[in-house]
Amino acid sequence: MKQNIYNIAFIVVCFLALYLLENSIQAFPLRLGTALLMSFIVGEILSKIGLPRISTYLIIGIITGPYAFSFFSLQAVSDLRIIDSIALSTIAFVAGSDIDFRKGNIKFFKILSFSLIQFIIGFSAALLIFYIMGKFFHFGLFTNIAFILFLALILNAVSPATTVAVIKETGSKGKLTDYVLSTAILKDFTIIVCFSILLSILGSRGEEASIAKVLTEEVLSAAAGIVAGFAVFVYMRFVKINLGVFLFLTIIIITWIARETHLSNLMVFITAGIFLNNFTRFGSIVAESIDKNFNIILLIFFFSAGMVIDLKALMSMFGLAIFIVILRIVILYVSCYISGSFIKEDFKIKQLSFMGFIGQAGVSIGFAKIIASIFPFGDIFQTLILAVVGINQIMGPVLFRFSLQKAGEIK
Amino acid sequence: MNEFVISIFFLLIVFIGAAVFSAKTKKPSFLSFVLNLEIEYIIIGVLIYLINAHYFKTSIQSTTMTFISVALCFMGMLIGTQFKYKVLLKVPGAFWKYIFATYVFSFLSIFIIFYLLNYDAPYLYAIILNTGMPYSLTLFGRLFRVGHSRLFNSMLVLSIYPAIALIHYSVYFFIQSSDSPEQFLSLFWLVIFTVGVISYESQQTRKIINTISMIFLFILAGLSVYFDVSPISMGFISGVIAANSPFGDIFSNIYQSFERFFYLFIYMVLGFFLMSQPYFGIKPLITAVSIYFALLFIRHFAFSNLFTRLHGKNKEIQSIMSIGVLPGFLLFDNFFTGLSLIPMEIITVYLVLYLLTEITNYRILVNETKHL
Repeated sequence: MKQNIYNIAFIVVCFLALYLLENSIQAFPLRLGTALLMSFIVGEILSKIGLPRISTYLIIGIITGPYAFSFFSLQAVSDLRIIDSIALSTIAFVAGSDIDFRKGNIKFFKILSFSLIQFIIGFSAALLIFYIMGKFFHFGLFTNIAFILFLALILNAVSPATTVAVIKETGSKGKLTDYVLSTAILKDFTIIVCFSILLSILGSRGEEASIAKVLTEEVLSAAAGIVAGFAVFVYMRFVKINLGVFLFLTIIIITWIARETHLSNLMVFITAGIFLNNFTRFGSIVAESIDKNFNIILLIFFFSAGMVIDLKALMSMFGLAIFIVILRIVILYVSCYISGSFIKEDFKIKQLSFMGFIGQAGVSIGFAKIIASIFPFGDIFQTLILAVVGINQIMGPVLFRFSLQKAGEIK
Repeated sequence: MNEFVISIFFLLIVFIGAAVFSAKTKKPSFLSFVLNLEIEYIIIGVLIYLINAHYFKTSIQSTTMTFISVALCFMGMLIGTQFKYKVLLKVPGAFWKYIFATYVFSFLSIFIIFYLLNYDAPYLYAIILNTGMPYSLTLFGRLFRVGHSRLFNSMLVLSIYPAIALIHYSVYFFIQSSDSPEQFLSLFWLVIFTVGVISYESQQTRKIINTISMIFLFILAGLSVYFDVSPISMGFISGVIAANSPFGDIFSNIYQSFERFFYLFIYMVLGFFLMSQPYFGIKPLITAVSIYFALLFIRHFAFSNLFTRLHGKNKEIQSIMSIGVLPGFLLFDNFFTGLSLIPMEIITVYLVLYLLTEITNYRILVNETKHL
């Protein structure tokens, strides 16, 4: 009871402070700190009734962000981008460090088959349904082949960062956890490559999105990840001291290098983590070093991710977005069931894993932005995707947590 | 590319270099002692400035400035969380006599030197440079494997010293800003907020306290920027409140884990500022050398009888020469709050004095232990 009074009092005070503080540069650090504190406290309260903390951080991000109460301007959100990238790199690093192909319960080829079959079924089913809707039910938007191709593809996109966040928060361990995490990463890679192929075929700006260029960037990112992982290994093997400071500096500098050289920091750090965990004995040490402050990293990342969710877009396309969200869930369930059966996995993988792929974030929004800048239907497409991603990102962590609980992988 | 990224890049390179050296050097030497003190990061700051000025020509970005305010708050908080009322009550009276005698006479001598050499703000500069930190002594103990019992009294004196310096600095700051009611309003909010956070934490688990402490630090920095109040004083006051709460030790441990990173950062920024308006005249050198001799006399010779009485029959090492990194933080705090203009010549005085005191500290310890 006493604890609840404290919590509510703090939330009220934080909200009032945000409301009363002027929207100036001088007040920005104070506003940000206050909003983070409020998100954190609300996250703790709602986690007791089963809502993942990251969902709460997102919701508070939306509420305080430029599209709702406007406690933060669009410029302020854009200023946070570097911190956001560093947080994403850290999450990716931890994600990679959690993947262990050497253990008996996870085989690389099984994961690969599971991801690819799931993707092929998911993409084909969505494409077929959208085509039928356009052809036979005369849905205006779905008569454009490029529109439905991109939509079907983006609906398959997932968010590895969200997956890691839920796994870390719940402390889950087991087959479902390993499958969802590894598949999310592989699907992410597959979708990036497919998107570049589609864009080079359908888009007028082929040069910017050539398949070779995207593939080269992804391969280079993976190679850079191995180099980074090796550098961390050398340090840990021969120097050992002050690991925390070393990792912190390394993450900042590699994030910056990735940004300047147009590499994917997600891929770089996931590969670095996988390298450390599968080829050296230091993967778990990296995860442990970051673990103590991982919650603050999640808080910053998901809070700022919430701030970019366009509430107006979500409201303007709410009906259609809800339809697509439901359709996506059904398709995910079917594709996971079939691919799970194909690799002869049990109930956990066949019937529960789909809930781990519902969350969507950065990659989907990034694709929507590219399409908006190239195609005539781009603006509507972007609004629709932002609305869909908004709903999925709020719902995804809740369902993933539920599936992990159902599978008995949460302590 | 901005100076923040360049600085992190250089920081990483030198950090690895220093770490490799420390890891591979078995025999303690002066170089390993200096490397442990992280002084090399000042050179990195100088390099960053030169590279930035010649190739990128960018201004100090708001990211860097925000980070400096967080670093300053952090330093205040770190010192404040070690200032436990109950522990201080157990310190014998003889210690307080020794500490106050050393502090007052060191302060007066530094003030007189600044005054005679016609500096703008002799009182403030005397507060800034009359500090002490146990950091190098701790390193020495580790590096030369000197037992705690031989350094106990010096460590205790140097642990209390920064708290006294920060009280002095905070009082000075608030007296100087007494015409601005906003500064006092900020103090009111600070106390309310700190007490609130501590009460909140008392209801929570240990894991949550870790995250709350980091957010707390960020809000403190935000408060100081918003009210234009000294971040280091804000951090110190809330640190003292936190230290005397049931979670004092947890706070202290959390902040200590980030100690080294902020030290590196502040040294680097010092190097950067040193080069931005270089001031290598003879006056700062004379000032630094004069202060050095004054400190050597007061901190090493003048009250040595009083120090001997502290430890009774045990032979302890008297080594309280080190002024530590705190003046660097205080100088930036000044810059931040506009208490005085950017005191470039003082940065030079500080760095020279810092080097001289650390070298002396090293020599005293080597002679006393006869390790080398």
